[in-house]
Amino acid sequence: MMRLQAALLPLALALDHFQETLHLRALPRIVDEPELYLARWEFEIQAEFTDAFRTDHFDLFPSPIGKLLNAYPSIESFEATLTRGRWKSAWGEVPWEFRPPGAVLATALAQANDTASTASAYRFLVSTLAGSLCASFEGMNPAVSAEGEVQLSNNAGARPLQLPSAWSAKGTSFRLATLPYEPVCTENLTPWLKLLPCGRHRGLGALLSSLVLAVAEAPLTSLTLAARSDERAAVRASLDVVLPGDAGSLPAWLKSFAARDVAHCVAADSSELMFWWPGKAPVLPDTRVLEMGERQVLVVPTMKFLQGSMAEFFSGPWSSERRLHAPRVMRDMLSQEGRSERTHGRYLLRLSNEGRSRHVRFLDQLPFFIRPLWHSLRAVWADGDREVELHGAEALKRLQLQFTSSDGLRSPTDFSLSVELKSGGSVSLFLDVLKNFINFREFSYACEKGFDVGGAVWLDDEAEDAAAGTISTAGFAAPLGPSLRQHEAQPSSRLHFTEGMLVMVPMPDFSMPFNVVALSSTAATFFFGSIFRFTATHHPPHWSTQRGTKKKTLHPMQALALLTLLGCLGLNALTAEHMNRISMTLSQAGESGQELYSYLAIAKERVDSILAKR
Amino acid sequence: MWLGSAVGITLRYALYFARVPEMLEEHLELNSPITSHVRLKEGLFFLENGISPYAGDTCHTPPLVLLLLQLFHHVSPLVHFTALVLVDVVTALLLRKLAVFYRIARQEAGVRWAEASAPMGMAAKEAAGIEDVISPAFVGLFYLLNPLTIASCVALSLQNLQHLVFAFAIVAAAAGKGGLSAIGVALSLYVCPFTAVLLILPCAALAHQQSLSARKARDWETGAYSPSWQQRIMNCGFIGYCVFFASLTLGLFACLLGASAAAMGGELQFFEACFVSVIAVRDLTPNTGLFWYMFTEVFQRYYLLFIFAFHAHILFYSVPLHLRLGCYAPTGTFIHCGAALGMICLFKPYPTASDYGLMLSAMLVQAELIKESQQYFAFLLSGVMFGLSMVPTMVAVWLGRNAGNANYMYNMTLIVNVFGSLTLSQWVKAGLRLRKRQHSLAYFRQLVLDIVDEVVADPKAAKVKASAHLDTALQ
Repeated sequence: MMRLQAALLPLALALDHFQETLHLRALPRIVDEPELYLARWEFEIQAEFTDAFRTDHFDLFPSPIGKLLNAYPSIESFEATLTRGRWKSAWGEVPWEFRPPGAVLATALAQANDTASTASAYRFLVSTLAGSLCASFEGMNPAVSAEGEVQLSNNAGARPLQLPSAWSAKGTSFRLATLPYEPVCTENLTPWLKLLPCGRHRGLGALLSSLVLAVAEAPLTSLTLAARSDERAAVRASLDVVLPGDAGSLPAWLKSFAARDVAHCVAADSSELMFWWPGKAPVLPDTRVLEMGERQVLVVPTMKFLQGSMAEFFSGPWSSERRLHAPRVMRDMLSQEGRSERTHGRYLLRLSNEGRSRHVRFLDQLPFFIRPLWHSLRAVWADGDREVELHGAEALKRLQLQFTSSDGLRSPTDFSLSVELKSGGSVSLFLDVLKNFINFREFSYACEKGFDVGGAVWLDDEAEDAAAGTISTAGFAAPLGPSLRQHEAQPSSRLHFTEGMLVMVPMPDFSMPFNVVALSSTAATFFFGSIFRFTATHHPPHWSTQRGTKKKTLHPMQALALLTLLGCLGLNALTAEHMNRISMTLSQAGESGQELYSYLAIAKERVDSILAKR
Repeated sequence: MWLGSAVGITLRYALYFARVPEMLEEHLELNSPITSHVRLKEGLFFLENGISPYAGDTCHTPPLVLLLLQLFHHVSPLVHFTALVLVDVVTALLLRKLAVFYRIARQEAGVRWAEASAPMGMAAKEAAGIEDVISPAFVGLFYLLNPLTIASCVALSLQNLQHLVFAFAIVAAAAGKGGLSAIGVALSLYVCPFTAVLLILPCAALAHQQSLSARKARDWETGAYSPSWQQRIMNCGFIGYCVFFASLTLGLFACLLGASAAAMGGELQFFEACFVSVIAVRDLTPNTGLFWYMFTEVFQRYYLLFIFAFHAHILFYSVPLHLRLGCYAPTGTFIHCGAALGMICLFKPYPTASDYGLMLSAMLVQAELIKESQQYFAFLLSGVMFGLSMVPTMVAVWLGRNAGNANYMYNMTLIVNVFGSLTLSQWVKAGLRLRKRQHSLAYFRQLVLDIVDEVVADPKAAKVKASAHLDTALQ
């Protein structure tokens, strides 16, 4: 027995380790909006760099990633993320950083003297991801786009994303590439699931098969595949989805899991469900509770959940009711009554506060194609039953509104305002805007749906809704996965972002430039042609005047030139016999005749030489 | 005239109190970015609050006009509207005055011009029907009671202010007041950048023609024929006068810019907003002109090229028209002024429908030209009116209901401009035809009179000469 154990132990240690976790966290309720919760699937596979691994024989580790790490050891870490939607400020503080919408690929490569090998490794990584996760990553290949090369080679000190500090360590080359638009791959989870040991057939991953439609329509979906290669090879795949559901009971898909419609993934060393409680979590057998500041996280092993005891417990409320007391900001572009939505708009900003009094500073930027009319500014302060409405300059002063106007070309209009929001009070701001008619080259892709206007920024000086017990990805590469972090000291002002807006603008016909240039020029030419014809055409001479029979005469210079030409031709036509005769004739006239003949001879010689050259 | 004026004023106030301005102040065919009331309010708001009125490139009203309107606006919106009504009334009176000056000029031109404008085989006295209908008062009232002008005024647009300064420049020139005319042209350049340059030569010629010194030297009433090849194309005195007039205009324009800079506290932001931005057609808001869609669609690389071409081509018209028409006193200069006014209305970057009201009113001053081109004029004018009346529908279809696209609007602007161009060119052509006919009539009159003189002096010799001519002709 001991021998058998001794023989199997190295084998067991050499096997890969697979962990899966499902986090469920109810989001704060918002009046008149459906209840939502955040679900995060997290899968982690770790493997030792054994001989088998080095020879591309893998246990649970996804083979495309393993082969990549074997082929290119210079790839230290990478994180590929596909995100659709944004985290809304109304959902409270973001539990961990979500990548911007679209595709993001962050890569840490070992610096090498041979830049070609580094570039080759990066290209291979991009191709692997394009093949095994999402074809859009091919757009990040520097070979495809010269612009991409510039972007990828930019080793700027500023990091736009929260990434492990190890990635910026000496000897590491960091690369970041983004694509702004990625709608397809977040709707099809199949390639991502294929990388997991149990795929979509067993375990927590199997739960996703009943959520395909919900994931496709979710307001936020973020899909991540990250890998690390240091002492061990590790891969983390995670999926964050904001789903609609009632926090009063378990979601239907989780109930089916509890009812054993879905089998446990036997390859998983650890499989857990984590329920995030805003307050005190209930004490249950075979579970553990993690303290996270004001929050508690109830950790339930999946096996226990499948046995049914936990499922019965969770048939009641699994999350205590919790309302968000943070200030709310509503920002939108409304249409004006009786006016076209494409030419006129009304900027609406509503700041409301249900919690304690607080000071809010709001900063926004209106793009160049939106022209605010500040004289139309109207602001309404509501405090209980009392309402104060101010217009124009008075509203500007009361709001402490400052703005920097557009230059009329491409620069935006920036403005900021500060308001004191009392408890239960609100401030509404209405500003009429004109939408510019712009050159057709300024329009972007899919502009018929509107122009994307970025979110605004606002700061509030109270931190009541502190982010106690959130998941952090700050040191992803080290712990590889979200770590449960304790309450951190909050700054005095908190930064929030509003959602972006889609603004309709008047559009020209994009297929018309050549026609319009031609037609407009022709229209102008109609008049020009008419006037030109009337004023500049030649008039035939009148029959009654003598002016019409103009005598044709030669200008003296013309006559001289003609004579010179004729003379030259005549000289050239003279033969030697003619010259002899002329010489004899002129010699009879004495010295002057001979002198004249010599001039004649020189002239003939010159003319002959010129003509001979031609 | 006064009764008609009262009707026009009452109509405007009735529409104003019926809150029609709220409905019309955003109509694209009545408001251009440089004359829109909404943008003016923004500029005035900035001005009152110590901000540059040109911040944000919204307001394009020149500083001196803005300061003037601030006085009215500060008192009451009704005062502001009253000022706009007064602008219309004064413009109508100026057009009436212009028609009076032209009527005098036509009388000075004598029988030759009247006979030239009469139909073949009809005496000048018998044919003078349309001129009686289109009296000077009719011209003024045609402008004042024109629905396009009324709509522009009720929409609180400043477009009619441009009409006032254009009319002032021409009427001052017709009155022989060169200095005042130069002020008018400078003001025209101030409120309508660059395109108003078309007024310099015709106004200078008209002012020179109507000045006292020139009037003394004229012999229009003699009716003597002089062959065109004996006539001087360019008068050195006129060239000098023209240079002086242009210099004075540009000097006054520079003074206006200087005054504007002083009024704005030395800031030159107004120059970019009121002149550079307008000439460069930065605001592509649709109007009844050709520029907006052209520069919406043109490739950025060729933007400056086409800006240059569309502005520069108007410079080709002044001198040929002067040589063919403007230098033939006393009626030619008036016709040239009318043509210049029409060209400004057609080729300014930001025209509106009311500009066609001014163009037609100016054409009516020379009623005999309309009579001369009546076949085409009615057809072409109906094309212009059709285009203008369809513009609101096309805007609604494109921007309101989102059932059409920009080509709908562009198509109508093309119709308006093509028919407007042809209307004006036919009108000019009629002027040239009358001028030639007048010349031919003078020639034949001179020919007949010479023969009569010859026959009366020596009938036998005349008979022999006639027989010889006949033999030569038969051979």
